[in-house]
Amino acid sequence: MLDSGTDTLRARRRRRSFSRLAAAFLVVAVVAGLDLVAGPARWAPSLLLVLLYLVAGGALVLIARLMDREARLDSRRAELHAVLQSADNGICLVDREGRLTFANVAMERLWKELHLPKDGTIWDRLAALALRTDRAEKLLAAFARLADEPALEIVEEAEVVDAGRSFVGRTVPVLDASGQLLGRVFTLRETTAERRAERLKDELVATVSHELRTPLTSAIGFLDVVLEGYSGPLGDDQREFLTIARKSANRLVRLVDDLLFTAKVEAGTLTIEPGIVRLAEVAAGCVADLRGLAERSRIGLALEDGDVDAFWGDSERLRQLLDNLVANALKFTPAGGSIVVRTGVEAGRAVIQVEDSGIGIPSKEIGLLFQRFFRASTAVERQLPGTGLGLRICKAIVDAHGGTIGVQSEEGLGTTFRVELPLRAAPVVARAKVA
Amino acid sequence: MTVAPRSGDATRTPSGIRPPPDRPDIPVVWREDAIGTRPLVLVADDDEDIRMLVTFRLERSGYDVLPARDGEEALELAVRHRPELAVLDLMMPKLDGYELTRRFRELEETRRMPVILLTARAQDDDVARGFAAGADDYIRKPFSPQELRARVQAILGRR
Repeated sequence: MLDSGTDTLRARRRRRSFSRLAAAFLVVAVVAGLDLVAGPARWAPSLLLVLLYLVAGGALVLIARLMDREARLDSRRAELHAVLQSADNGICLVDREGRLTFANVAMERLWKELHLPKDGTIWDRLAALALRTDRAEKLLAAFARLADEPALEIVEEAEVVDAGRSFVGRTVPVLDASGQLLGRVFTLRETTAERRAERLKDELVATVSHELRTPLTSAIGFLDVVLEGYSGPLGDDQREFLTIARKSANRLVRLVDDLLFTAKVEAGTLTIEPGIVRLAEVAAGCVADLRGLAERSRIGLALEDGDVDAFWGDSERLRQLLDNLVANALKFTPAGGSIVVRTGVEAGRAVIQVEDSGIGIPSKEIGLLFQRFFRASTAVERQLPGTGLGLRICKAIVDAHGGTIGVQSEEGLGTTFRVELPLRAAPVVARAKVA
Repeated sequence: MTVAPRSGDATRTPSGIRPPPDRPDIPVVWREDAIGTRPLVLVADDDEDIRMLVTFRLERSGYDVLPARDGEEALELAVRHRPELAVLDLMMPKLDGYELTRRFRELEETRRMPVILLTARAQDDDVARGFAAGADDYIRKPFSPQELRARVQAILGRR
């Protein structure tokens, strides 16, 4: 569809001969003109001749210019073509009606491999493909939106179930200089290998955590047996050392739990088990359990619980969320500091705030806090222990409840985490149906 | 702690374990002639340490223990000795905890025997699978002795 190299070469030769011809005409015109100025013999016909040569020369110059531009466009087109054809991703162009105007080799190959219809508009092919994915409804709805909003950009990922292959599809509009829609570009990128690697990683995490949990069970179990005095009385040193070992084993269990939980979050399989949540009770339980640790660290821990109506959520997960936030605050607050846990209702949403007077978080790191394995530089510098999983877990729990989590912090002054949760009422209808 | 009499040498006897000095109420050793006076609990786990630990805790809580090294042995022992409760590990060679529970539910001898699954894989779907197979309860590894005792008592007390 685009000019080949030889065509471009021939065009260049043609263009060169045109330019020479134009120059010749112009030279003749100039010589005739000079002749006219030197000896005015037969004025009128001579003038006509000069003008004729001038016009012809000018026209030839113009044509040569146009040919030049054409040639440049041709080579630009050839470059673009080469770029599109060399791409690993499938790329195709359609006009306003969805008729195909171009498809690169990768796209042609994908269509063949996926046995898509050879004829018809892009919409026919996409609909045929969408119906074979795990997200047919969502994709068809997205295509329908494209009909109403031509300027829309869409990116969707789905698995073609019968082929066992995943793809990220993307479409962007092609607009002319005045913003008129000319057509669309569609690209298809295969993500099968990425998804498989992710699945393997999740399986690995699950297996590893199982293999770790079994020896930990016997380590903790038998440490307890010894600590309870079943193998004879213990001296003070023995008791202290065994208690340290016992605590470390506990920390390992928590780490394994966190890893498993994060793997679940990343795999998108985190589910909440909803029930009636009484937020004040959840917060009171958390504060009561962590009070001992706070006192030992000489940090004030206070609870200000406002009235929150019971709502629909997962109490156990919310307790985990609060435990994580308060344990974090304890870790990052020096002795003599204070932590306040607040619950209440604002603008129809349940609000939980955990405010500490700790070391704070540099402002440029706040955006990274909820990523897994991220640790604030202030924590790393002070060599505070941690895995960078806690806040990722918090965010997942809040997301699963349809809420939001945010943070305000000033380095050296303290940090406040704020969680907002929708006050969902218990689904009475659903329960009535079950009964 | 002594060797459970009806199961050969399936469990190792931890030596040197004595009663806690402050708990004279805990029976130290049960005698051969006491067999049958305490409820019998089947404990199946392929990990010897865990089997020993569960056995130890259950014996201290007043139960006799029938230890099994894998699913097949557990099935055989259960049919022969009709224990009142089974504590089963999920991941075992030959027969895993799910399959073993299903077999128990099919056999006349073990149909009504309650099953507690002891699992290191306490993901929601694992737990659901356990209940679907016919288990009555589950305990996560690592477990606390209090939890083990409470769950066993709750199930045996119901009967």
